[in-house]
Amino acid sequence: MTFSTGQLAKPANPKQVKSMQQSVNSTPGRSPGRRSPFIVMVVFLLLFIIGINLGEVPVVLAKAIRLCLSCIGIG
Amino acid sequence: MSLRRWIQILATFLSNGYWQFPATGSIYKGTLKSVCVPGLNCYSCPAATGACPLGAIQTFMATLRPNIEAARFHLGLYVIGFLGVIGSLVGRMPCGWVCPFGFFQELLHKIPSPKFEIPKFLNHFKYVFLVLFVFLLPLLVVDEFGYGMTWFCKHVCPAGTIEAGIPMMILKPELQGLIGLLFYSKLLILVLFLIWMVLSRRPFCRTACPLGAIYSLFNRTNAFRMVHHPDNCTRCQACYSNCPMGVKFFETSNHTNCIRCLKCLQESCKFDAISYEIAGLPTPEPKPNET
Repeated sequence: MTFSTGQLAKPANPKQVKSMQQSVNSTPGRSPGRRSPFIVMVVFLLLFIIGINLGEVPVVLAKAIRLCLSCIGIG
Repeated sequence: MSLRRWIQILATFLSNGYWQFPATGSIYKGTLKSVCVPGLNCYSCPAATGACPLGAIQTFMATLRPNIEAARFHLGLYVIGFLGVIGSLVGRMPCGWVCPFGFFQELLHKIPSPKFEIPKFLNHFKYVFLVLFVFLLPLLVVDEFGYGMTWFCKHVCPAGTIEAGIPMMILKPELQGLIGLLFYSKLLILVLFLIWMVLSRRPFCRTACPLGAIYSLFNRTNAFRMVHHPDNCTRCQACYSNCPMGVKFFETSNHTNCIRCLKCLQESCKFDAISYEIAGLPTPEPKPNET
């Protein structure tokens, strides 16, 4: 398919142009590097560290080393 | 045997590596138990070496009120942070690679039988279990001292029944005298799920697992994402037939049920219509469909 200079210079409908641009840019898997997962990871890493500082690790240990009667269905 | 299968076996043994229990007659009590495992594995299983993240969250919710009254701000951030870090990086991948209970379901599904698909609406029930049984009920239904219960462990969890309930009854016969309606109701839930696991693909993961529900919240935004190449896709449904979670990849490439097992990519698609990306970084371009 070829386009004349006139067609490129004067798009008929801005929505059409936007849609064409989106289809070109939306080649799957070729997006530029995404930072958001790492920002989310840092937030949760902070929560993890805060939890450790609040002394939650011994709480998990204390629960895990005792036989959980609820888990085995008698408590 | 695939690499994933080897990793599933290894993870199952690492999560359950305390083999002295027949001699000691009790569960492992070492410091490793302060670390949560990424999959669903009951910490009262005699061989368990780590803590169950779901059990730990429920414990934090169940003891939140008395803890706050005593100025101990144990909100469960250690566990939520741990799950969030994993989820933000790989989404539901732990379900497909390291969860012992997921592995068990895949093995059971290999038993020859008529196979049935799970109705879509049941997929949402795992969020009900997560919100209600893991957070709200342990937090809101409390005794006179302000302590709640671990509702999911106590009333639902079939992993707890099969990994801890039955083995502990054998290991400690004195516990058998305490068996009551609760044990039988949990046993019934387990039996129903076991039958369903033979008939359908990973039904517990898809309909009831709160841990899978937590990871699934990250499936569309995590660093590791599956990519569909519609130009190459013939919609032959080979990916759907082989998917252990019954995901129609050609309809939703990062479905909340996708466990990133990569079976669709490595064992199903012949048309290079599936690839993955890591944080948007380029991965090898699929070849154009030549058919």
